[in-house]
Order: sequence, then structure tokens, then C-alpha cells
Amino acid sequence: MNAFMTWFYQMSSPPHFYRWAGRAIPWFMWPALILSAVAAYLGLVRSPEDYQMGHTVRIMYVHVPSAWLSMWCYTSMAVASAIGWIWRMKLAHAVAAAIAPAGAALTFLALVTGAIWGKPTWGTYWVWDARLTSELVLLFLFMGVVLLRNAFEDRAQGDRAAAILAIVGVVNVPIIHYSVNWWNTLHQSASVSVAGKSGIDSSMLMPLLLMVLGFTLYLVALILMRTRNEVLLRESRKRWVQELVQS
Amino acid sequence: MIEWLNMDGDGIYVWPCYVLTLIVLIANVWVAKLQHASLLKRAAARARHNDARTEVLEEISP
Repeated sequence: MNAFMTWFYQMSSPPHFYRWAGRAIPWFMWPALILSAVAAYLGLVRSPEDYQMGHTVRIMYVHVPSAWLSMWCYTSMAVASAIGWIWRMKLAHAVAAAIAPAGAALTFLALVTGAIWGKPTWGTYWVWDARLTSELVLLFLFMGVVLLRNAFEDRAQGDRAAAILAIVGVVNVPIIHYSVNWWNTLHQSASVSVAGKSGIDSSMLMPLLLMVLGFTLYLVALILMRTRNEVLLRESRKRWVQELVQS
Repeated sequence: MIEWLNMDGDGIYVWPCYVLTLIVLIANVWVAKLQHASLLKRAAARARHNDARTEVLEEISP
């Protein structure tokens, strides 16, 4: 526990974080590339087609990771915002600011790939179904957080306002997750279960889980990259940044 | 190959999803790299400006 706390305190120092993240990014990005490439090969070539959906089931391997990670992004952003707001930790606000555009991109992907998958499966690109609508609300929340942060001239005020929106908006995450159980939706209920038996065959589950892992590592690398940028932007007048660019 | 790309007619739905995903994932990293380079450039310009200012102040100080 002490080692973790020491690491946590070290990480809250912007120069320490900047250097650590620079070294850590390739360790996340390269495995992400390899895992995603293997998962894409298994999903597009090796996995079987679905008896009802045919080959369109292969959209699942990009749609599901995007959708899952969009929710993970929002939850992480809300946690980082809460830490930044409660303990006034600047780095936590920088992490939250870095997550928001990445989360918006994944939510956009989940919505568009879902709409494309919906056409051959449901006969329509879009319905105002609880799952689809709550995911669209998630995109608006991510965009709202980005816009609100940039609406203030004073960065600290923008961080606080964005943190409040991020924390309040987290209520939408369980709504997205449970929408298929709470309401009668066109979107199917969960096929993959963490605790119980998954409803899909292992030949499809394996590429899906590999792709989820690949996307997760990619996302961590991207968030580290974007957080480094946020740190540079926020600390540009500090001596360590001046020394960094002169070295 | 053509048969695999066509996927019994489902290729028109499957491939756009994969291409779009690839574009978004690459664009995210590319934009972050460009932004990083631009921030470093700006910080270097500021450091040069500060150095020049310090030199002038040292020259004019008695």
C-alpha cells in the first residue's frame, strides 16, 4: 500500500508524470497494435459467420470494444474529475481533459458502427431506442465537457465546471449498461458476461476479448499522450518545461 | 479474395466499419503527436525569448 501511495504521489508531480508517460507509451501502444491486428485477423478471417446475421456479425469486433470503452472512458473521466475537484490535483484535471476527446471518438465509433450494423439487422440505421439514445447522450456529455472546459478564460474555473458536468453525467453510464434490461429495446441484451456463462461461442468470444484488450491498451497509450500534451500546455511557463526544450 | 471481401454481400456493411475505426484510431494518435510537437515548439520559442530578455536585462543593469 505504501509503495502504491509513493507511486501515486510521484505521479501527481507533472514533470515526473511527463517523463514516466513518455517512457510508458510504447509499452502500451505496441502490444495494442499486435493484439488488435491478431484480433482483426481472427475476427475477419477465422471466426465463423452468424447463423442469423451472417457476416455482419464481424462488425461486433469493433462495435463492442468501442461501446464498452466509451463507458469506461466516461467513468474514468468522472473519477479523475472528482479527484481533481476534491483534492485540487491539477494532474487529475489534465487526465480528465485528455480522456474527454478520446471518449468522444470511441462513442462516435460505437454509434456509427452500430448504425451501420443496424441496417442489415433491424432494417434501419437508427431508432430512438433506450440503448442508442443513452449512448448518444454520452456523446453529447463528452462534447459538453470539452466545450465547457474551453469556455472559461481561467483554466481552474473551466476545470471545476467540466468536473461538475463529468461527475453529474456519470449517472448516464449505468443507464446505458442496464437500458437493455430496464426497457424493451430493439438492441439485444448483453451476450458477454463477466460472472456467468457468455452467450456467444468461444470462436467469436476470443477475437472479441483480444480486441477489447487491444483497444484498452491503445486507449491507455492515447490518454497518456494527450495528458502529456495537457501537462505541457498547463506548465508551459514552468522552469522544468523551459529546461526540457533547451536540453 | 473477392469472395472474402464481398462476404456474401455483407462486405458493404462490414468494411466501412473497419475502415472508419482505423481512420479514427490513427487520427487520434496523429493529432496528439502533432499537438505535442507544436507545444514543444511553442515552449522552445518562449524559452529563447526569456533567454534573450535575461541577456538584455544583464547588459543594461549597472
